[in-house]
Amino acid sequence: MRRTFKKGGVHPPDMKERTRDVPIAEFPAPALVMIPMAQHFGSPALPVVGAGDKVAKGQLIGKADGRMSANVHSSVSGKVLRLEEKFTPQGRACKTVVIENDNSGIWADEIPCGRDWRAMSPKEIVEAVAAGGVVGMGGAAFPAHVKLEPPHEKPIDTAILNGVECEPYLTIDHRLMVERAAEIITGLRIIAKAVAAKEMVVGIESNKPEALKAMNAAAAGGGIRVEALDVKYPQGGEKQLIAALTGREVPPGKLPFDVGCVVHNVGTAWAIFNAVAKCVPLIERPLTISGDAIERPANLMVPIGTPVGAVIEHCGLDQKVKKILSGGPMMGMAIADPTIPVVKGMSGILALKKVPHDISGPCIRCGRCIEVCPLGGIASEMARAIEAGAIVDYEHLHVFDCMECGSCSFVCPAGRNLVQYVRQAKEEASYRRELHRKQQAKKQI
Amino acid sequence: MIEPLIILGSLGLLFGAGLYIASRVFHVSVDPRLERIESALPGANCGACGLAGCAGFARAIVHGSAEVVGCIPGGEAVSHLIADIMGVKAKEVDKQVAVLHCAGRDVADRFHYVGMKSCNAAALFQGGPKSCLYGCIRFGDCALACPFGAISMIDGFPVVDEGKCTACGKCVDACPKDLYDLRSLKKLVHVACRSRETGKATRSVCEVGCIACKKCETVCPFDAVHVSDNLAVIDYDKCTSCGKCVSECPTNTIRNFREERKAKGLWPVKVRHEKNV
Repeated sequence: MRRTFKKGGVHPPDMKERTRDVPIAEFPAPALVMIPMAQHFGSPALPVVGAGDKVAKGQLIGKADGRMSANVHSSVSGKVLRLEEKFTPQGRACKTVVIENDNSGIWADEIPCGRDWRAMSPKEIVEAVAAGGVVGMGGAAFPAHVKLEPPHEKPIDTAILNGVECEPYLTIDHRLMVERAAEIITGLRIIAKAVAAKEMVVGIESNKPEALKAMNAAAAGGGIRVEALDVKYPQGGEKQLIAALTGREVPPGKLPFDVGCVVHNVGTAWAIFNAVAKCVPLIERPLTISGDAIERPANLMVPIGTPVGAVIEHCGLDQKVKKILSGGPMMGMAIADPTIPVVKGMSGILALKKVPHDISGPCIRCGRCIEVCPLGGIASEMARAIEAGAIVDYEHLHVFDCMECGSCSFVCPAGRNLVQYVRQAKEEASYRRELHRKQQAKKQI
Repeated sequence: MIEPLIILGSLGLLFGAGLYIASRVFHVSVDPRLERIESALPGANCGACGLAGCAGFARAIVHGSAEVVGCIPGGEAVSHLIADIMGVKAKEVDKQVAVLHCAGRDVADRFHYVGMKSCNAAALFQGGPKSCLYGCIRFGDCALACPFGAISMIDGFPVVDEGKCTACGKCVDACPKDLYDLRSLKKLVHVACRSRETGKATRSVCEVGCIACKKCETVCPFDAVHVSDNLAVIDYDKCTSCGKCVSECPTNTIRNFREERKAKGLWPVKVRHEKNV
């Protein structure tokens, strides 16, 4: 029996044909890499190298700043040229280490290693994942070690792997599952050991029969369930996948921990396997390069810090290109500058010839955005509140529960930039919250 | 016929007596000054004083927790009325206005921005579409925020009407690039740039940006202008608005507001005599 999540969702055309059967190829490391310190959710890493330093491949160049942060490693061997402020694909500026590649490809000491993860304790696994700088590779780039350390009062019974890949165009998780199923499954076992989960489930949408076959073969006889799910966007959302696989609903403002689940992307499982079993930190990431303005669409393994422009060049760019996106068309961010680097959380690069017209008109009260919101949010009202500057309403409307999946913008017949409104509301609300906190503190003095 | 009159009359007397007793027992003494201060205030409830509306400000004054000169839109006149009511001496009020630190009307776009027409929303995405990351994004969040209609978008660039500006500070809050400052109307010389890029980088995107040439620093007889972090910054404690740096500035970044204010009758600022009560 096939399943999916109940509330909301949309069916965008999947556009995956062009890269579905293209094997993952290595992208040669470029002459210059620019590695940002803020590639993850949480506080940026603190750079531990300076201009002129020699670095080896896999060497630590940014140290995690606190628990909610992640280590950053060099993806090439070479010399640090400078540290500069640079925009990341997420749209904010951060410290970036620029390294000149000497093409020797020399690894840092003790990388790669051979370790038996079965002999490691959960604590050692978490430490190895944190040391490897592994973050969620589905897009949110949440530090993976935090998800492997659930609070004691919240026992985990189910470890879930997310092989849904519901964004149109992207096929990189699919290719990883087809080509590296065994490593991913081992990654899942490592995750399950770290969080002491009894059940292990892999969720894959039924439009990826090859991936289902490969994962089923790799998981055979190991107590792992590989589930085929009905196709619906945004099934790859953590909360939607939990609902589809277990029927449990994560309440607003809560985390998967609260319903006894932990969800990792298949790419993350692969990175966790590398970090734990082979001591290899996250220094390259698989990417789908696609879209109608790309001449040779591909799935590539790209070193972190490679300029997006170089990757696109490698695949051939049509001159009629209108827009370049980091990530999928539903949640991806536009890239305005070809020197922006590839980061850990980037799942694809799309170059498109056609972009929707900027028609953004007034709301016609059709209610479609409310119908499709997988979280039961009311995007139309959120947008109206921000337009009116009604600060009081933001929290009442639960803006912080929105995961910005873009279903509402996708269906809006008035072409309203609903996700952007919500993003703005979040920004405004946190600013007001901070201001209020400061005023309260002042009053107490 | 007489009975209902007696009944209603005695009921009336009874309730009247009850109300009289209640008004004596539950009497709350209200400071008569409170009402007078409230009626002296502009009543815009703008919040520029930092308190909850004009009523809140009036209460704070009576309690002694706010200064009599705290009402910014009301300015001098209101301060004096309040000072009279409170029987204190008003300190000299320095009328302030919002000054925009950008003149980059002709700065080109780095990319074609599609989305919410709001500076704050646009600034979240790679600092906004303008080539100068420090400059005005030109969607007019400041003009929208101004409760007094003092900022208008003229040819897509904000212009402050200093006659209308009450220095409430809403534009300072609204601008994502932090381009507004509240400055005394007496200070006539201002740097119309916030770019901390190197001179070369600023020059490549904007004709009127500060290129950090330090000519102003050299020419200033009062040691009031300093270039730090690639930007000329005026120390208004020292600046006498002599205008020497204005004529020296090669990019016309430092500007003199004298003529403009004169034409509007805002300058010279009328000197007010201190009042003894």
